[in-house]
Amino acid sequence: MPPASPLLERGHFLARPYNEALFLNHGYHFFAPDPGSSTLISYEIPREGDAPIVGRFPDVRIKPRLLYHRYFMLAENLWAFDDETRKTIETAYARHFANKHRETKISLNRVSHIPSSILRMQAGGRLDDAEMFESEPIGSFDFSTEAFSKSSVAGNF
Amino acid sequence: MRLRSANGSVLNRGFSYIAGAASSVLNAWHGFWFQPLDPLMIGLIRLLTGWMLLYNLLVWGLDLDAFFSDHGLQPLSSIKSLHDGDPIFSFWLWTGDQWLWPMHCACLTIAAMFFLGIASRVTSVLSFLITISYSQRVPIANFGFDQVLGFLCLYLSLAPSGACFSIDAIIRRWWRRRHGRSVDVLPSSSARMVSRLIQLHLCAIYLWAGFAKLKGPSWWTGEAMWRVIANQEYQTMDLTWMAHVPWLPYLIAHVTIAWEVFFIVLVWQPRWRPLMLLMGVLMHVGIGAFLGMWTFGLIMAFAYLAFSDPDLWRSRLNRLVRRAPVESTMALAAADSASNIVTASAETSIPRTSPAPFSLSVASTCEEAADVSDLPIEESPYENEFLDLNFDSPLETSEIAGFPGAEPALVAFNSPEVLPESAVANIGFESGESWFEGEESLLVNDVDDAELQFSRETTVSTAAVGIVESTVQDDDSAEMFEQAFQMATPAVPIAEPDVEANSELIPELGLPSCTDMEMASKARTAPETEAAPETTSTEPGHKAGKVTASVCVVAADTADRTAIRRYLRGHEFSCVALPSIDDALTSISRHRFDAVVVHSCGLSTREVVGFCEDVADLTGHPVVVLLRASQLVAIDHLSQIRGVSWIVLPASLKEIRQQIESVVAMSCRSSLQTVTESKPC
Repeated sequence: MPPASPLLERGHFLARPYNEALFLNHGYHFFAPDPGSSTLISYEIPREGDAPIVGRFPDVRIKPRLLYHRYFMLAENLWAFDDETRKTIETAYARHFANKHRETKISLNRVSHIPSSILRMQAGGRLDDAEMFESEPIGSFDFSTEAFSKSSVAGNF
Repeated sequence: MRLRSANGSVLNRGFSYIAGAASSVLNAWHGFWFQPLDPLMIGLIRLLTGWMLLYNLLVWGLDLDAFFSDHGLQPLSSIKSLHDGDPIFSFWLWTGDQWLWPMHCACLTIAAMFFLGIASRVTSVLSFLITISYSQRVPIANFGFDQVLGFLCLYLSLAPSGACFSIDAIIRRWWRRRHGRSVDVLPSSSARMVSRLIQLHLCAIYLWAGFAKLKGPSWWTGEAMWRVIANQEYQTMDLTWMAHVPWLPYLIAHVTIAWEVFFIVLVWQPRWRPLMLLMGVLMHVGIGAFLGMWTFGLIMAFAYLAFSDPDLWRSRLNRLVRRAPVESTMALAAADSASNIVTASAETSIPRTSPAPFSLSVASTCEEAADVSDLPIEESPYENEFLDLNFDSPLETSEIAGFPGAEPALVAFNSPEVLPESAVANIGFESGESWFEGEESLLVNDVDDAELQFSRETTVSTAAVGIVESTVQDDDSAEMFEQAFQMATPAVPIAEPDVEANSELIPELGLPSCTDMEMASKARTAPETEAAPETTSTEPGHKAGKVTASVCVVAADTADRTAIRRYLRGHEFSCVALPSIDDALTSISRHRFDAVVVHSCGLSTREVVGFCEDVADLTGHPVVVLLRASQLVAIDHLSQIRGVSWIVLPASLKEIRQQIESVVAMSCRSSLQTVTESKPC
């Protein structure tokens, strides 16, 4: 985790094959350096003559809790990758949810849920107040030229 | 110019110092990493980790297509490009969608086998490969739980994780019992190594986690913990009331930082370890309860078991198991057999007039008696490292409450005060009966019990600690005096053969009397003789022939004591077997023996070394110590005591006998040499 001295970076480079092969290449940065906002992915699927389908993950209704956490990490960890990788994965997310609802067009948004401050809570605020959510568009996707996947879309989403 | 001092060159002393320091460091390193350790906790960690792995795979199966298929949330092409060039392993990278479910079911089966401890050596390695394969295939969905699961599976694949709490262990015990072999779980160096790896890995986790937090200003201001509490996506329990008690989240933040940063130092301090581990457990339980990450919280807490003392938990487990009525099932391996292995697993097959209240699996007895934790000989950093911090387990008189005839004796002995062992031992002497008369009543069982007819009215109670004494009454006597003593191991009534009914056999029984032993010993050590005279003993209990040496055997456990005594007597040794080192010192100070054998089962390292030192100071008898594998640290001390040799258990009776013969021969030679040198030409 930057910043690091060239000595440490060299040591990391030398130990990298061993660490990666044995799945030991972790920094254990739990809620570090600062606990930040949680990240969610929302999607909107337009339908002709009908209300759009909206959804968001992670969804607290997902059970068991471990599966909910897996979806939570899909949203949280996405921004840890480089742009090119992230775009590929965003496209995969979009295709998955479009297939799930058997639609071809979908738009994704990144939603940041900012934790309320102590003062705000003391003043009567709530954690899920609308003003605590910030949405940022990821992009719109059109899969009409692609064949639908025949796989099951069962599950929590 | 040469530097010289009165004691030799300074350089030589310097080199000696460096060599000594290097030797100490190497010994400490070896002891830290490879001193054999009971794999009990490793087995428990395997059980719990296997459960977590199985649960993890079951949850993946709820949405397997979404996470692992090529058209799911993490396409294979994207993940492959992500890992491009990285030396990772994941069989999912080469698994097509059509094999998704067959592979997943196979992994579930292996995880279940790992959890249950079936073919542990194989399934532990496979479980590690499964863990990293799943994690590497879906890296975006990983979090701390996968990281901890990964390293635990890695280390468990290096250890005898199936030695305890496993189907493998059950099968092994059944097979060994069937072949009359020891069912002991032997300490293992790899168990120690893996335990250390887990301990150090936990230290590394907390250290890096703490350092990473120190980079964030919110952990310095204390605001970080509130941010975690107020994160609704993590929250499973509403803690927002802390906004009205703001000092509380600030305090938790500061304590968390301090605890993580100093964990690596304080967890190795015996007095701090319980507190550090307790705080860790509370933190991880809190993570599970308030942030919904039960899997992460629990698996971290499970890893803490690596810091536990397996000997302590073994003794507690044995005590728990012994509460159920268990019949003695193991026959004493033939003391005549030279290949009989003395560990702590032989059990006497002496028929009892009443069922023994406890199973005398000697391993359990050994651990029960050794509930007193090993006090360090010196302030070794590795002796007091466990949670159990030097307490003396109180002798539990309640264990003998249900013992036949115990109630009156209990009243007698518990009133007015609980008697110390020495006082109990003195009772026998005050009763007017000599020690060896009392001992004779014990030693009568040198003939197979099946050949004797037992009188139900005459019983002798034996206790593993304190006096082994009970007045044998005639059948006509109305009074039967049966004592139950405070004991580290329970008393077992042994039926004494009826003299009249067994009159044909009794003359063949018998014992070397004190006088005979003294004569044999004196003859053995007579300085005027070049060769030790071999006294012929027609005393029963020995094969007709010569008594080669007299030996005092000290063993707390009845089965071990009986096994060694029978074997030695069957090989022309005059043998006295005593249950405690105090009794042995008393006997040794009064009578001459050629050698003393002390079984370390039931004795702490300090007691063993102290006994050897006492013998060396008092009489100089050569001592052979039967040392447990977990007491190898005592070797350094024993090697400095004159006349002491040791055998590390498990060892055969033949090896013990050969060691005794060797020790006796050396002692004779040194005595002769001393006499020769002192005798004028």
